[in-house]
Amino acid sequence: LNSSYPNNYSQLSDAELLSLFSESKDLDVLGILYKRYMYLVYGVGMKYLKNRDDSQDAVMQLFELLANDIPRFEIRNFKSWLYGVSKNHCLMKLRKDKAEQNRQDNFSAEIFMESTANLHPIEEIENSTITEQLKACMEQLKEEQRRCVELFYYHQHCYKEIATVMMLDENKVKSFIQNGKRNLRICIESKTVLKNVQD
Amino acid sequence: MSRIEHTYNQIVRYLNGLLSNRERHDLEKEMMRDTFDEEAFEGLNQLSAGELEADIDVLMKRLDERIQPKKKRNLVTFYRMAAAIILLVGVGSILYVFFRTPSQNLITRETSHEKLAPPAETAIPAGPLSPVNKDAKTESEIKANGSPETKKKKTPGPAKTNVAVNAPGEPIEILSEKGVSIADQASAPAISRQMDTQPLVNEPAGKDVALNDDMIALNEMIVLDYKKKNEIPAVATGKEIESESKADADMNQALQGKVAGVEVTRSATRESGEFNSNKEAEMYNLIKPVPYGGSLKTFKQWVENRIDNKQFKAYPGKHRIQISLTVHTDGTITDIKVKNNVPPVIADEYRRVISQSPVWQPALKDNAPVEAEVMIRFIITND
Repeated sequence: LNSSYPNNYSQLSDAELLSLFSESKDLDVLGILYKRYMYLVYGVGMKYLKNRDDSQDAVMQLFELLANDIPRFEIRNFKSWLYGVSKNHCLMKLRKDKAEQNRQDNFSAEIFMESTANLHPIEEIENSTITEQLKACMEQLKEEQRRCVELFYYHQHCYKEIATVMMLDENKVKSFIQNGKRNLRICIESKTVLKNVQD
Repeated sequence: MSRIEHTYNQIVRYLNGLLSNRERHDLEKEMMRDTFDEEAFEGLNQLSAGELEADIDVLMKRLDERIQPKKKRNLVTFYRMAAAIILLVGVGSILYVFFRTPSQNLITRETSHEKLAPPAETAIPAGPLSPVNKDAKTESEIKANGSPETKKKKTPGPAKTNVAVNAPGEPIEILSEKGVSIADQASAPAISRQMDTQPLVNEPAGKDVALNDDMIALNEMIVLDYKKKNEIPAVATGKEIESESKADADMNQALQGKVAGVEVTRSATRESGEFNSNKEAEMYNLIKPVPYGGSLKTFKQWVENRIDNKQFKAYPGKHRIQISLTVHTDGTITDIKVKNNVPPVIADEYRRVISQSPVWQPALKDNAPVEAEVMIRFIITND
């Protein structure tokens, strides 16, 4: 994705490129930064707009938007910021499109991105307390969610394998894992709060 | 950065089904790092690997165009201008080639027609003359050059001319002889070549007018070049002129009177208004080759009798066949070339027949045989 640009630019970090662009307004620099995440922006476009042409247009429109907005904001984490902007852009587009009104309602609630810094409890295995709580919470999950989460995290199976084993659709597997994770988080958080209160 | 590239490549492979189950799991897990990855991965899963790659390619290009529009546009403008120039030059050249050549042919034809039209003017152009032989020119020579002067008759007196002839009624035109003057002095083979005193007659006057271009062309044998030159004492500067005329002057040039030697003739004519038949006689010491059979007419008859025209049926219409050949000093003929404006079948057949020709009488210069390149023409009409 970076091959078309000189090495000295493509070696720079996101933050370095950001500040370089803020100073120089050089679209070449922004291009290098944007191309790193372009496939993700396109993927988000596909998720929301469900259309290749619209998604491609969204990628281009977002580039224009970045060129305007980056110098105006202080951006700490480019990737997070880009996600917010991309998703917003897609939702705005859906909102404008009346025929798509219903679809966008499903997504408007969860506009904020889960922080990369906060790992899901299930991934922090070394924390023994959490592991205990996790075990307890796992028991409370619905059977399908629990099995999917187990197969994915403890047995390191991919969606396809789980789908085969569980005789489920791959999309079902994904949603069981997602929901399972959410429920686990809620469960663990509530237990932690409870524990803190007891202490 | 390279990790981002790696992730993208893994996604393509994932969609292509090229990853092992373990690798699939790793990628799926990796794409759960944050919501951005997760949602993007979900979105990209709607695509095939081919679609994803094609779309990313398109996006890369669109982005590059957006980033460097000016450079791109400049380049496009440059190419457009270059293309326009090339086109102009090309069209110009084509127009030049196509419109120039015919007009010159026209001049040549008009000239030869004019040359024959007035009955009094029976002289045939004797081609280029050395500048030394100032007074040796006739009106018809000037005409051969296509010069405007042709219309003025400076030397009305003598109808006598000084042209080499094979046989009466069959003119031979010497267009290029590299600075050597032409002589009609009787020489060995030709009996009636005393050109000094014998006015050259192409055809009866009345017939001349009726002659069309083709007929004129048909009745002429044109000497394109004399290859071996003898020293001619009377012509002091002969050598200089020789060096001027180009040995490779092509057929068309020769036909159009454009060979260097002809130019010389013209300027010399202007200087000398007088006509002196004695001096003339000294100059014309060149005699054209005589085709097998004694005349061009009989030779052509001989050729046509042998031509197998069955194979020509595929090419209906009129064909002008222009043939050049070299007559060697021993009378043999070689280098038979047919101008490539006729179908190869016809060209080959004429070449075949002519190559079988018995010996000619070689061209003579000061009574000594010289090699000569001549051109003859045939016209055939297939219905």
